[in-house]
Amino acid sequence: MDRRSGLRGAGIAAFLAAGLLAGEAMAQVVDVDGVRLIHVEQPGLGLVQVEVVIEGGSLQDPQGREGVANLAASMLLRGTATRSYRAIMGQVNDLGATIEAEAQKDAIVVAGDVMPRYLDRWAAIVADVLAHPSFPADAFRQERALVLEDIRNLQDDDDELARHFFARFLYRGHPLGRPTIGFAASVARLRRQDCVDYYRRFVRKGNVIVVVAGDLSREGAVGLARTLAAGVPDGPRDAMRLPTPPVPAKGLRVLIVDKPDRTQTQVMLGHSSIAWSDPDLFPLLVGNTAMGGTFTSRLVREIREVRGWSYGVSSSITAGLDFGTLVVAFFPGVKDTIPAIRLALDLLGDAAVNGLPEEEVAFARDHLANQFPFRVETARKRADEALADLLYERPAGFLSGYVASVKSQDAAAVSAALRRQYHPGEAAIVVVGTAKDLDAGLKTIPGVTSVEVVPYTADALP
Amino acid sequence: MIPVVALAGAAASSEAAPRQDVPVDATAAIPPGSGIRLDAWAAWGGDVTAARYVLGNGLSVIVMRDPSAPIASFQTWLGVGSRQEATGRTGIAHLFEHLMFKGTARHPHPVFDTLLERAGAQTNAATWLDWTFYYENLPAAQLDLAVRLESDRLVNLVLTQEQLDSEREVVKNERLYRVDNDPDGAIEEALFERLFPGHPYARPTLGYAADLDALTLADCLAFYRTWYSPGNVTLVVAGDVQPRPVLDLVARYYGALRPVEVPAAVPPPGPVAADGPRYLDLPLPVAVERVRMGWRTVPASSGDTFALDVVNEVLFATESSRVHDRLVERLSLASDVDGASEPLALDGVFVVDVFLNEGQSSAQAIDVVFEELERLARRGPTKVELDRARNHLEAAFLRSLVTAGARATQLGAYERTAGDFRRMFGFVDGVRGVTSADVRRVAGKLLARSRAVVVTGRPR
Repeated sequence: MDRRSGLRGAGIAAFLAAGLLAGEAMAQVVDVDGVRLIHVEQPGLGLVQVEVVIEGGSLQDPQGREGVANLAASMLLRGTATRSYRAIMGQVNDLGATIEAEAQKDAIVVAGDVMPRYLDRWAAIVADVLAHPSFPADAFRQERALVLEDIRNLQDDDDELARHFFARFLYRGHPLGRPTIGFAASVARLRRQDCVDYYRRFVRKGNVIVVVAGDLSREGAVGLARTLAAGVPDGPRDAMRLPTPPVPAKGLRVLIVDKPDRTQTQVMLGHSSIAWSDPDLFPLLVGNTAMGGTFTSRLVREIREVRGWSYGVSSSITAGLDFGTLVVAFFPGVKDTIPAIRLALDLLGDAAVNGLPEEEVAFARDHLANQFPFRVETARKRADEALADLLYERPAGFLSGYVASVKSQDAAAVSAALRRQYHPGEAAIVVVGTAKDLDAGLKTIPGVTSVEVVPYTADALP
Repeated sequence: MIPVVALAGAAASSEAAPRQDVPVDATAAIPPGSGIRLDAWAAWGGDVTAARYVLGNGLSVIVMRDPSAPIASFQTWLGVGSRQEATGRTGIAHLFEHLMFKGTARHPHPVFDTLLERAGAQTNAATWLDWTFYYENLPAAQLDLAVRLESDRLVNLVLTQEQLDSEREVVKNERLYRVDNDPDGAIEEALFERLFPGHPYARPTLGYAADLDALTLADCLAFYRTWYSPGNVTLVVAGDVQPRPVLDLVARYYGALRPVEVPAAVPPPGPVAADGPRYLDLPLPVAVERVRMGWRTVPASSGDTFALDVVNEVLFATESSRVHDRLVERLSLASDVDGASEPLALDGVFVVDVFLNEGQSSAQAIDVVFEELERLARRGPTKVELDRARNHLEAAFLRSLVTAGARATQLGAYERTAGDFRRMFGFVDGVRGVTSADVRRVAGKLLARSRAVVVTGRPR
């Protein structure tokens, strides 16, 4: 039970995990036998942490085959030419090591960690998984059934439901609106061959990034990357870009995810936002931190501290390769839901029109700059920063210039960025709650142009 | 590789000549004339040493140096949690944790937060059955700020009715979030109520809503005066710090605080007679059934905690564990299985979670759990299983110590639940020392069917 778990990070900073200690060399990316290697050593950690990132991911799922990247990733562990699922997991667990395979939006990732004394044995298993998956038919049916259970279990968690439906509602018709796990209907349609096809399409050396952090020397990391890549098919890197997001209709669009007997709601509101390369990145980061990135920020102060309406309040921006997402989230009791949404919209609107005073900007600026050591606290975080550079094509010098870029922002720059980038009048709003308690109230919010209701069990939006 | 075999010792004074086995650095770190004494220490690998020092007013401080990043974690662990609450006053320890951020005369609200956030600190707090703790993870150069602010609010908090009323609403909202609208939270609350009848661990740390409504400002101030005092505090400082400057700061800001006696612990009632498993069905807004099974076990200071961890590994913790393999892979009854052993200061709990597949009944899954526990009690683990468990627990231990904040939290939790931070350094050795006979014994004695409480969440 902690005081304030509701904060989900200070805007972009939470997503940044920026990249290097002052004066210390950035993680280098080197080519090893056709795959890219990122390595950061941390002697004494007692663990070697490894991610094998294969660019592709659920954004590449074909329409009607949503969930295939996720299922294909899971199937990598379900058997190889010489190892069954039980053998893979048993051998990994014998070492005290871990291995996971999952899809993300931009990649599928096979990851795990191992104590250095067992690294060679662990690497041999992972190399086998990457090079020789057999996609056994029985295991496919079992894995697909487990994914369907996971989709069903989403319905039990209001927080997860809100995130799930927010992306679908905001990006309806766009690949970002497709859940990585898939829809129940699309997953049920998937066949073993879909996973095989996914593997053949994306698993090739040009798409592979091996990320190694922890108790392993550079020489050891190169050897590890060589082992892991040995059986991966040759091939160039795919160029993968997203279509631009659909231009939203004017006005506020509301989706109620109707779940019976709720005494509390989960609210997420926001709109699409900037790419890593956008010149507004740093002023927006500072401004959004002042708005909802700390416990003394405006949204937290007004919704939680002054009124006690919600235990958690946050405003975050996830920048992307081509565009990103702004989202404000909180979870008030039913009676406080409409006033809390109104207040959040008013606060965002006020910041967009009037900007922020120098005092608040200076506070957010100092907070972000002084927090920088946490972004690079561990080798894993430093390696992940280098990975983000690769995946999101962040501007050169992004990390080394992070603190200076933050510190260079003033109230004029931040206020101008908020004017350009905050559009609360065009937000998508998702509320998980009981519709009969919310429907009429939501329609009274100024600027609302549509209120849709879907049952929380809905597999697809109309 | 961090050597996990630790050296440990106890007792020396700043004035006395150091004993041969006492690390000179730890003794030399004590500011002359401060009245601080070295109370216990443990060496862990090359230059990483943790030591506990005690001030004249009873406040203790554990310092663990780790210069791998320019970050320090400063934590304040209070020896008060929800188990010290009176009937009808549930939730006051946790509510008070929230109120501790409301300011002092010198640092009125929200100065505490703004100063620390501006300095780049991550701050938060948590309350559980046996403890309450507050932390600041911050750039190491800012440690002085955290010590100054924490020492101030330890004794100078100022509260108003308005602040209590507002924060009470936040806490009630947290309860809605974690219990009333969360099936897992509702199941856990029901499980503890039935595992610990008449015992302080039966009370939910978040409190019952009616009790929260009834709490007054006078209740909160009385709670503060009773429990928030130097002798009930252990500070933990981990990260890129040197012991001497840390002790200088602690002596400066805490040394003059007046000692206050905290109430003596009241011995809790023992376990109720084990007369067969107890079952409870909870209608919940869930899509499919889920089960949480629980047993009372042993306090954190018991040597049996290591064997309980091994039981969990063999049966529940990994994809290769027996129950996971049967329920998820072979029988397709469940989508997931998990287990955990949680030692507490006065007792302990062992829990098993089973998430059923659609259309499957919990009864068969519960039987499988009991069957496997009984089989383990009869035959014990195989050598492969024992070795696997030892490796897995060693790696999990290393994972739990990756950051300065994580290390400080582990030290504080061991100190508050097991009574001695040095048990943390003995974890890997403890696990390595577990025998097949130990596993059979704890599975048969502590995790017997007759001692179980089984809560099933069923779709409404």
